[in-house]
Amino acid sequence: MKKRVVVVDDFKNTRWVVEFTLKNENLEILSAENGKEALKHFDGQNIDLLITDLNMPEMDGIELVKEVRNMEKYQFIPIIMLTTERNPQKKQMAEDIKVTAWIQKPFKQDQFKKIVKKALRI
Amino acid sequence: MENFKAKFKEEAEELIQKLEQVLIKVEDNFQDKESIGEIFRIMHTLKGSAGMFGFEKTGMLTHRMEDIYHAIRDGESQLSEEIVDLTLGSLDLLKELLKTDEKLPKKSKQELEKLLIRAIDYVPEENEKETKSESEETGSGNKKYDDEKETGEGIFFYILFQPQKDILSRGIDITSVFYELDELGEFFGFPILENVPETKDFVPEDFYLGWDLFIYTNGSKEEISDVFLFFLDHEYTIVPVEPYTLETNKEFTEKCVNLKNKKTSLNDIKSRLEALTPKKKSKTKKEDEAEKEEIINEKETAEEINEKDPIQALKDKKENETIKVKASKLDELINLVSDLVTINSRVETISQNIENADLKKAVQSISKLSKRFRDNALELRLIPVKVLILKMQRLIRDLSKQLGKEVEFVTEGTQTELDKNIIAKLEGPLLHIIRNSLDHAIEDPDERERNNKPGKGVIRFIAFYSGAHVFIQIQDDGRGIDTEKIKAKAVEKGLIEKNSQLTKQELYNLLFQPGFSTAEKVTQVSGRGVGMDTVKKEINDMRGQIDIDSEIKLGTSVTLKLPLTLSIIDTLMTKVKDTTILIPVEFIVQTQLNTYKDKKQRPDQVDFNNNPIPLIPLRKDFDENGDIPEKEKIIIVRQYDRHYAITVDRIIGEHQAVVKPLGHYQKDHPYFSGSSILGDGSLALILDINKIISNKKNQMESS
Repeated sequence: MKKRVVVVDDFKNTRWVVEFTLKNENLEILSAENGKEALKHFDGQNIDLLITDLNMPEMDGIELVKEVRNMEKYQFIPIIMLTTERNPQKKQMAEDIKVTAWIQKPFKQDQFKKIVKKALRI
Repeated sequence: MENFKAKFKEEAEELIQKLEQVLIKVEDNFQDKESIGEIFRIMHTLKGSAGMFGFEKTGMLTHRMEDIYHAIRDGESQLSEEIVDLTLGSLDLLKELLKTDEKLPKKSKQELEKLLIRAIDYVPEENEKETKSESEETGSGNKKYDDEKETGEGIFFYILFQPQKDILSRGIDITSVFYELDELGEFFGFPILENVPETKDFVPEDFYLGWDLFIYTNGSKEEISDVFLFFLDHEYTIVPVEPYTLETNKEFTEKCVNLKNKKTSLNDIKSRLEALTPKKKSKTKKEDEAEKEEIINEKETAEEINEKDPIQALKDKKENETIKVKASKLDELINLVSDLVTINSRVETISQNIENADLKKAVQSISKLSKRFRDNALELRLIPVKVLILKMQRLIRDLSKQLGKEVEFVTEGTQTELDKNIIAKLEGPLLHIIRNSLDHAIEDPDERERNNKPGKGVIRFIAFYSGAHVFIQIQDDGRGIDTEKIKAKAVEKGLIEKNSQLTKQELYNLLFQPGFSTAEKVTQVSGRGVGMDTVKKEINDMRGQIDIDSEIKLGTSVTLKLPLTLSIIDTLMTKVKDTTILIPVEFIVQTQLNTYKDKKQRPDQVDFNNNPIPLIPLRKDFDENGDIPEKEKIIIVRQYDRHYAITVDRIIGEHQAVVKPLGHYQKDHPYFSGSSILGDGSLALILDINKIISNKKNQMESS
């Protein structure tokens, strides 16, 4: 079965780059523009990984992660925080809300792929 | 078994080559302990594997040599010129033994016997020692071999792994760590249970365990770090350790306070680590003492490595790692790549006529890829000219002794790389040139001193890149070439007229005439008639050029200009009637329109830079009527310092050609040296400038 990855970023280009980077990994990619939209994907179906931006309108990454972790089914899924954020306070916050990995934009494709594959265990 | 035998031979050849290298090094310094040790070790290895594969005589010979160097190593005897000679002689025999599967011809057999007898003289108190040293050595020697393997293969790491309590809620699967470590190597670990709370305080979502892990791996520290990619820096520590340095490794002892407080003792870990060490044999008591010494040594080396950053050292090793590939496999690959390039240009041509953007894009990508593929594949065949040095060194060493001359051999640019086929063909010519330098050019020490030169002559080997060519120069500081002597000899042989005016360069070129030799007396070494003409032919055959320059009393230099590779050349594509002819660009000086005065009749010569040069009309050979096309083009080519004009109907443009050899029946064709398939699938012929010019010369001479 294809692994399912939710990609959340308000910037279309970033979503496109992520999809492009992962295009050969045989994944089903569900994208969303912000946290609120992303949550719609977490409707009980199997999700194997969440890749999310930090700063977004409507609902930001931190809140999204909190919501996801609060749902029993998704309590332990790997989450990759993808962001340009360099503010250490925010970073600490993300660490507090427990993400699996933290990737700084712009990212190197190889490194990004490596982390995603590791999180998905493929 | 045959397969193993071939492997053994291959390995043995390599070892013998190594020996030659070391021997030449040790000759400068008989006290060079390191080299002596190395010779001993190599002989020992050879002896061991020769015995295993039934090469009895090889085993006998290497055993004798091993004894000699064993004694030298232990200070019981001294290395001397005679011993080095003897060893070199034994190497020649070893090579022959390998080649003939030990079925030596009679002469070599006698030589072997003589050598074995001579060798006895250099082993002190031989009778008494032999049995003893035999048994001792095989023991310690084998062990050494094992140890080398061990340190070369893998490395131990200690990992303290203590994840935070919240690890599960970070979406990390801990078991993956163990799966991935298992893939990296053999490992074992002890759980750290200290943080596990009483049942009443136990929170199911929290994580309380930690581990002391030990892994033996061929991988690097980075690879291990990657396993812990999702863990925070303070959750894991990776320390390289050796079983022997466990107590002394500060970082390790600091990190494993945990371990010490628990039931698992350091000794326990040590023994388990040692158990993981591959091929460690149980040792007899007798060896224990030697063993201890080695442990100390290993400690030292381990520390040395630590200083150098073990990870970096390991990485360096990985980058330099090589594998052996059969040459025929490589050739097959190159052939396939050439075919790919050819078909690719066909696809390109076809797609040009199809209006489809997607197709064009795809074809473009394929073209790019196949070009990179080709470049990469060709690079595989490049090997450094260094491999030629050894033979030259050996030749200079042997010959200078024979001739009573003293010569220093200096090399530069030995890392310069050339196609392996060219390297293989270069050996003969280069050795011949060196032989000439030694015999004809370098003077006796007495004569040198009379001419205020240092008694020791110098032969210099220089290699360097220039554009798509590699230049190799052999220089000597000998007596130089006497042009008067060449002239006299040429007149005597009837090659030139007595009063003909020739430039210095033209006189040097006479040296390349068949059968020309200026040596006053024919020595055992050179001047046997298979002279520079053969050298020149061989160099020309690989599309190379050879030049001589000399200054009387100061020295001579012979320069070879060689193509980087034989299988691809830059050419100018031209048409003669319906035939496509490719002319190698490297020979072309310029192209021009014909300037014939009489449009119906070609002259024999045309002007180039106000000099008349011979005209070679290709069309004449394709069309018996010899009609002159209206806009016939002239291509000026240069061979050495002479220019020639070649005519073609039309010039199409530049073309990079993948050279295919001509078929068996055509291989001696007077004009062409190869063919190439063009983009549209048609065939083009590659003009051999050297052939066509020498052909023209013969014609001119006979008419």
